[in-house]
Amino acid sequence: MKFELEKSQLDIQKAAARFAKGEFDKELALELERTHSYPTDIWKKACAEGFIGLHFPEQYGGSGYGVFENALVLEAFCRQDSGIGAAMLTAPFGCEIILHHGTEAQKDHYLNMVTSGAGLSAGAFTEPMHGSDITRMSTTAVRDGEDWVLNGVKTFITNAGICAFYILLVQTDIEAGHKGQSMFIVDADLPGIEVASVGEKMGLKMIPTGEVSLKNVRVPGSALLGVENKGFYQVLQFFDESRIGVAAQAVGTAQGAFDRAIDYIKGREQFGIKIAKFQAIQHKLAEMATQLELARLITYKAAWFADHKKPDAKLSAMAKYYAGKVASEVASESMQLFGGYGYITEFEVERFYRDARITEIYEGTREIQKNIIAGQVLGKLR
Amino acid sequence: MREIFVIIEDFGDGAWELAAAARSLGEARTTALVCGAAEENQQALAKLFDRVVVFPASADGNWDAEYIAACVLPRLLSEQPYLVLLLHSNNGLDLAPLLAAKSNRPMLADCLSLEVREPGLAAVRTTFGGKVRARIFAKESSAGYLATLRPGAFTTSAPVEGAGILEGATAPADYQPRRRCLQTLTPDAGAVDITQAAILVAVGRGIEEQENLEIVQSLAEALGGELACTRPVVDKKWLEKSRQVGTSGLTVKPKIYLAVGVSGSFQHLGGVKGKPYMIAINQDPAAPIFATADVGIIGDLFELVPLLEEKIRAHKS
Amino acid sequence: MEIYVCIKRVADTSEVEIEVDRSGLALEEADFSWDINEWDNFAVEAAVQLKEQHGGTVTAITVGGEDDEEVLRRALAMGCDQALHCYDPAFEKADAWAIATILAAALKGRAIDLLLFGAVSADEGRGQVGGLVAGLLDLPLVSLATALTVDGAKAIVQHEVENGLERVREVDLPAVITVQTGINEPRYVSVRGIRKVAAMDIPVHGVAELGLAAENYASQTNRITLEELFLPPQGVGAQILEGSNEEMMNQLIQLLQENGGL
Repeated sequence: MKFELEKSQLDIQKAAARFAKGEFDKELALELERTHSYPTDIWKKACAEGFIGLHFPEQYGGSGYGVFENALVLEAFCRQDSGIGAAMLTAPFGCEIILHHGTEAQKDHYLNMVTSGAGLSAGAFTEPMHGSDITRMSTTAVRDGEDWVLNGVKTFITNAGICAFYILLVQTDIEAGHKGQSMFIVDADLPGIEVASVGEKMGLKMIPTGEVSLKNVRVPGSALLGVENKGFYQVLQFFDESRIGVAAQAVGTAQGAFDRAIDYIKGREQFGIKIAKFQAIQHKLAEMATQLELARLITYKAAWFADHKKPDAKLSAMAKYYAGKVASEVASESMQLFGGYGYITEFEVERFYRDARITEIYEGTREIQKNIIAGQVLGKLR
Repeated sequence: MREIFVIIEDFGDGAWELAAAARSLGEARTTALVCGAAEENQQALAKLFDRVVVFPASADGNWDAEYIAACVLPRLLSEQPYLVLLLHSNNGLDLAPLLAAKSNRPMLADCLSLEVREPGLAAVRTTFGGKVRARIFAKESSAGYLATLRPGAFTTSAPVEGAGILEGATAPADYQPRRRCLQTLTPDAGAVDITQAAILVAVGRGIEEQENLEIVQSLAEALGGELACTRPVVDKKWLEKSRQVGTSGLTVKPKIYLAVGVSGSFQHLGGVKGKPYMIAINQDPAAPIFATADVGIIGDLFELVPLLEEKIRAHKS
Repeated sequence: MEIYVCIKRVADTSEVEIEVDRSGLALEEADFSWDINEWDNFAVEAAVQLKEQHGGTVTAITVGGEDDEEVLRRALAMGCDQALHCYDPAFEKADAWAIATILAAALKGRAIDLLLFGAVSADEGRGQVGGLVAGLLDLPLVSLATALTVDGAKAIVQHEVENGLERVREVDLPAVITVQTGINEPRYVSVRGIRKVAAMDIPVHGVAELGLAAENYASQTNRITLEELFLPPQGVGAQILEGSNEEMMNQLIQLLQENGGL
């Protein structure tokens, strides 16, 4: 047992922090938030430096690192800026499914696309009538000769409208429930695809979230991702891994809010005394720092498992649940420490607070995470 | 009696400070070594030092560390002075370590004060960008010592008048330059980068009207600094954002920060790093800026600023 | 072209409140983050750019403890070809002179065209190691370079001199150049660079490999000892000037002069 990063992990952590410090300009972030614009230039630079998809093999533009190193990068990015960091997290969203289940041609084409900065991906799993419950999909794919024809509506799709392709979960056997689901990679410019905004969001304002409707979208047989009728299992396996990324996002976002609060209270005086000297403040800080450390530990442990054994459903769910909760609480308390200034956009912490909340919602709400944890703890109840 | 050699870079404050530092160490015979000095400059040095050794000027007439080293090194080796002093200036940095290595002397760099403490030489210097002071001690050295002085640090004790013997010297006949000056460049005019400025004059809400900025701009020019400002001044679009200091503006680390009509909000002062020497001019005795500043002047900036500018210009001419 | 660049790992103290520890000889390091000295980072970039233009190899060297290997990995990831870690327990607490002699021993006998240093370090701030090595190896020195090109057997160096001026010099190679910040735009360390470095071996040279005889090298070679670290006296609020406007402004001129403002 060794509670210490490897040399190259330290190097990656530092390189990511330095890149974020150099590129994630505060004024730019506020501007992108206001105008709801994607941080395209930063994303392309991050690709050029090898940060996006560093956990993919070298032949696909990655560096052959693991989930752990990816988590370190995401944590450092979100710590510097919760919004831009989240955009970097979601830039190759869903591509691990291509990595694990795709054909050589799919991997070569799509993974190189997202690592080189040529295109963004989008994972399209959620449907208007089915949120975190994906056991039954209304979107369908029907075989037509060599092709498939897709119909249906997907919602809450990150990167909708700006991505190069969608990774879709659809029903290929309508009778078979979750055992009749398959996945497809669908280029975003195909006829029959339409995107509508889901409306103004609380946070993550730089990243578009949309509703994607498919009307007789025709794709070739080669667009099938993985094994027909095994899509549900592929997605579950993916979530076990991707939740670690969300946990890292949560840890970074919490730490970023905490850093800003510490800076503030060290300089702020009330009643002639630095507010950092008040014991009530100090005790609050101690709690926040401890929560942060614990969230980081379980996130790292889940990442370590993913790399050294296999993604562990329970640990990943625990990491995402706990880190998400800590992000919301620590960001909220950080904002409180700022007093009135915490409510002002210029001081950033309110944005970290807004961006923190999503980590308890997307990729399975905290309640879903608890279901998973409980399921693993109890085993099959007879 | 101790022999102290100083290497002259300029004939004004620099020479004076080197003389003051040499005299601060007690009884000593002081020798100034200089490459190229007009008659009146030689006379000025003669007033400060016991002996002035004048070498011919460098080929281009400017400070040339390599040439100076070639001139003075034989003297250091033959006369073995106890201490060699230079300024810790850009030019001094280009020469001092070379001399230290070639004359085998411990080098005390960037000293704020010096003190002979047998069997060695003690100094106080700054580390960590001025945040920390270090008391250092150069061990006994039969080859003597070399120290570079923080410009402006040795101004308190006036040098005693020297005996002023002038001595002409020649450059070594076998001097082979390995570096040659091609050109001297003057800095770009126009481009403003307050983050790099050593002197900043910051203006705040107290300036009242955009038209009034002129007097502060003019003061900044007189001081050789840049004009900076607080957020309200930018909000009113009186100055560009590139001049704003603070948590929502730029972080600056000047050596001198003169705040005019600046209340001293936490947000503004958060952008001022590196503990500059801070002077505040403000009408309000309760302005928080006075808690942070080193020097405070309570009064009307519209009277004080032009007066200060006038005095600075008089001082500089 | 054979380029050597000497670098150092330092604590970043720009954002932390500094405290001297109980020994009085070191700082409390709990909050420090460590990285390559900023000036040295520009020197590494300058070295790598010159190699990219003219070919050859860049070797990064540091004198420091075990953890300081980090800055060599960083330099390699930025594009240096080789690294050398001068590390030996006997080097601990080496002063500028001892560091310069260690570097000189490491460089002696090597074919060198250009030897680059950061002009100064963020911690000690002495600005002397580059010049000392130039003196020890009898190489020409140009300090505080703000531009650097190589033309055959000469370097063209622009550097900072008096009164905000810069001077352009031509210097015969081999030469020592100390680099000022802003000379270039240092590249980021890329993940691919880090990947490449992970497989590289960084040789460690101690007293034996460097042919330095002494057992307690630093303590025997050091010429300067640190006696005490302390924080500069801090004012409690401003010194409020008194008198007429005329008198106050006269005092202010005096204070500006004493504090380097005039």
